[in-house]
Amino acid sequence: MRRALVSAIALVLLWAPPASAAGDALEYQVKAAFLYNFLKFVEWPEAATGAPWVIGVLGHDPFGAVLDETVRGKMVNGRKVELRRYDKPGDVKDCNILFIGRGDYERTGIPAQAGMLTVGEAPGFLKAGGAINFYLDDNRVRFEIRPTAASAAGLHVSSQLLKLGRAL
Amino acid sequence: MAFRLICGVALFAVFVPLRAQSGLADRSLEELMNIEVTSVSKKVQRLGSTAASVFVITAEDIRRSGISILPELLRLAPGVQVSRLSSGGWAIGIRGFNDEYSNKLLVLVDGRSAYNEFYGTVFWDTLNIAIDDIERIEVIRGPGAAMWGTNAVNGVINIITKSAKATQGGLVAGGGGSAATSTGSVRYGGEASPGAFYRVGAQNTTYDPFQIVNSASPSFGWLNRSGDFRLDWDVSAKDSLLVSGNIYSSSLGLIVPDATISSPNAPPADDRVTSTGAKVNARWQHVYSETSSIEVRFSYEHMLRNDPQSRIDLDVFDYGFQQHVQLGSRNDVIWGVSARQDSFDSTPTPALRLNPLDSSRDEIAVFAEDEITLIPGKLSLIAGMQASHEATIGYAVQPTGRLLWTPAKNLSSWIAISRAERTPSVYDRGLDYYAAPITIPSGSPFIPSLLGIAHVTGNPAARSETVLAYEAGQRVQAAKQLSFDISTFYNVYQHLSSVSTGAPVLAFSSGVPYLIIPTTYGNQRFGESYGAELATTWNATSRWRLNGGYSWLRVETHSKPGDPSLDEVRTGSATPHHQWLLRSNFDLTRKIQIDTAFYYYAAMPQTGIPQHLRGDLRIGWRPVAKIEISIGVQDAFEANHLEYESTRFGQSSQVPRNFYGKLTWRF
Repeated sequence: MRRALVSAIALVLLWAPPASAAGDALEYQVKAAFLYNFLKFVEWPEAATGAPWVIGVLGHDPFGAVLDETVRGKMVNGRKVELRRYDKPGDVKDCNILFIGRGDYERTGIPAQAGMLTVGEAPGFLKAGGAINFYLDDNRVRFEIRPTAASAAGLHVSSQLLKLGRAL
Repeated sequence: MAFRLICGVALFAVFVPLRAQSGLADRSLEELMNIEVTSVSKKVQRLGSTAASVFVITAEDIRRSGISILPELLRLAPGVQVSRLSSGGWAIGIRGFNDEYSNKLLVLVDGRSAYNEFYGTVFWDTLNIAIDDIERIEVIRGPGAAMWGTNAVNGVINIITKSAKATQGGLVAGGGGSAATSTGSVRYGGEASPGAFYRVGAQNTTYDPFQIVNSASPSFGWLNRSGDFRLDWDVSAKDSLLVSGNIYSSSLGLIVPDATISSPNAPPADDRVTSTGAKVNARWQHVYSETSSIEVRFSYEHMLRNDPQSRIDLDVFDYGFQQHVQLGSRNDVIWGVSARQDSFDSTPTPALRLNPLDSSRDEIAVFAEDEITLIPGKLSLIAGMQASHEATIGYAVQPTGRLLWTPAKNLSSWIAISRAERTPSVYDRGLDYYAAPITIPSGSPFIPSLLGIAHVTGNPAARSETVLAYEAGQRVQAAKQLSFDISTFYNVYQHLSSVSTGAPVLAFSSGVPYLIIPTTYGNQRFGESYGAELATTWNATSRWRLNGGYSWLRVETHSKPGDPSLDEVRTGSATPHHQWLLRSNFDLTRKIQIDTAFYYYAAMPQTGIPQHLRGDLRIGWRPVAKIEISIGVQDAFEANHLEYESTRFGQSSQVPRNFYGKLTWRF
């Protein structure tokens, strides 16, 4: 039996594991799911027929493939969801939800565009002009909202979202 | 404690991300807000920090198992043997020594010990924690004494309940089954003032008696009622306070021998064991920084247990302090002190008395554990030790050394060597018990047979049983969807609790002769055990998850040449050599779940228990987010089966097949 054990361990060892994808942390899976859900809880201006929803990530992308997996094949009000990654604020265009990662907004600033909801994950993100900010509380992902930032972009955040988020 | 936390977090890091991927986008906002996550940096650190054999049963595992009582949930963890004795009795063990009075397994509820120092066991019938309140159960196979103290010889089961913050709002759950079971619980949580969250709850569990083979069954099954509260208060950004408590009342019917010398043929009596108790627990934590914190805790427990042979009144006070601090870049230290006082007051019965009737034991302990980074991110050494003192036992020193190697992010290997002790209970030292008489055949047709009574006496000089455990393990994330956790061990036991009989003494009762057989406890046995456990998780698709587990175990005990001593508790005879389990969780649609589970226990030839395959099926339906309805069957393949042969008082009964339904409503 000892020999059988040794071979069992060897077998497990030989199962050469490929490097696992970066950013598969649960925190970002939850944040990705929130981003997708935000599309449904905001009143957006009319868009061209057939145009997809656009979720953008500005600067460093902490999601890896998680965000792509979250929105793959998803439709909201009959429109597909598309992802875009931007290196600089100047590249951002026709974006519905723009996510700016921790530590990036200070460098890039928070671009303000009509019809675009900005989402961050750093203390001070709302003060700097962002609309929604993720934070961790009791190991759970929560968010705070600054409704004035959303309305300045011509967006109306649903009361349900306001109820769940901490309004500032 | 840190080790515990580390185990939990690391296991979450290994398993949860995989499990949680399925369909997160389709969850409601409220659900998303209630998913527990941990920050990436902590995870990566801690993934490499479990140099122990650990399995975590998550709240999702619990919900989808369809199991409605705590002891049964432990079946989900590979390497745990769960044998149900009756409607409210269990023998639960890890790595052998599974007895109805298992004494080498430590059970903690939110860090507070549920191990009874008086009897030297855990009374599962008194632990009725509402299933919906359990956040997770961490099962640690192998010694955990360096961190948790004495009696964590073969394993530690750490039950962690949800914080009051995570259980806001109301919940009503009720269920019933064909085995005439019913469980019900209500819970309500609110915010008393900003940052101060509370919840109160009540549970009721009733079971009809299970059938006994070839004998009358008790007229009474199992009834447990309990009420609990919990307060989680973030007093400031750096201080948090937890206060929790519960009261319970448990009544368990059983059939016990009732023969005496004057009426040797009296049938077994229908009787019951009742327990009532209350516990309160407080813990204050102050965080200086991410790498430095202190914690002060206090708990008090009162218990009154009445069984047909004894009546015991217990009070337990437990105080603790601990500090977690990082020294330089290489040493992560946690140390602490604790003091515990157990007071006992027993009422003698004709059959059983304790010497002395009242006693008290004070135990003080200090522990320290240092996680030393040898090669950053690759190799670390965990050295820990607990030193404790109790007047009758003297000093106990329980060290551990663990080496953890993480050559890659998805691969870690560990080895460990540890020493642990099981301290003698008040029973072991002070028991004075006359068992029910049995007929002793004379072996000759001309001489009439005699009645014999075992007179069992404890050993006032009983010493601790010890184990020296050698362990090794490996964790592999073979692919994003597939992970393995394998561990092996070799344990050497010394001074195992034994019983030996002396020369019979002839006695007379109203002129009737009978034999008294003196039976005494000792520490004459020794032995070894070895085995392996495997746990695997495979996320076959985003909607289908499979969990597998296998454990192989051998326990051998011996006495010295010429010494006729026998084991006092079951060591290996009531432990199957092989156990496996396979669980499948399938999301048919967003609202309908189909869950199946198979648990296999090999035969235990020495006790006459045949092999058993248990099959469970659950269908869960969530018509709206706040309501869940589930129906299912447990033990589908057999109408009735015996899981364990009792050697103590009370006869084992058969576990029935159970068709059940459950409704959960949150508001």
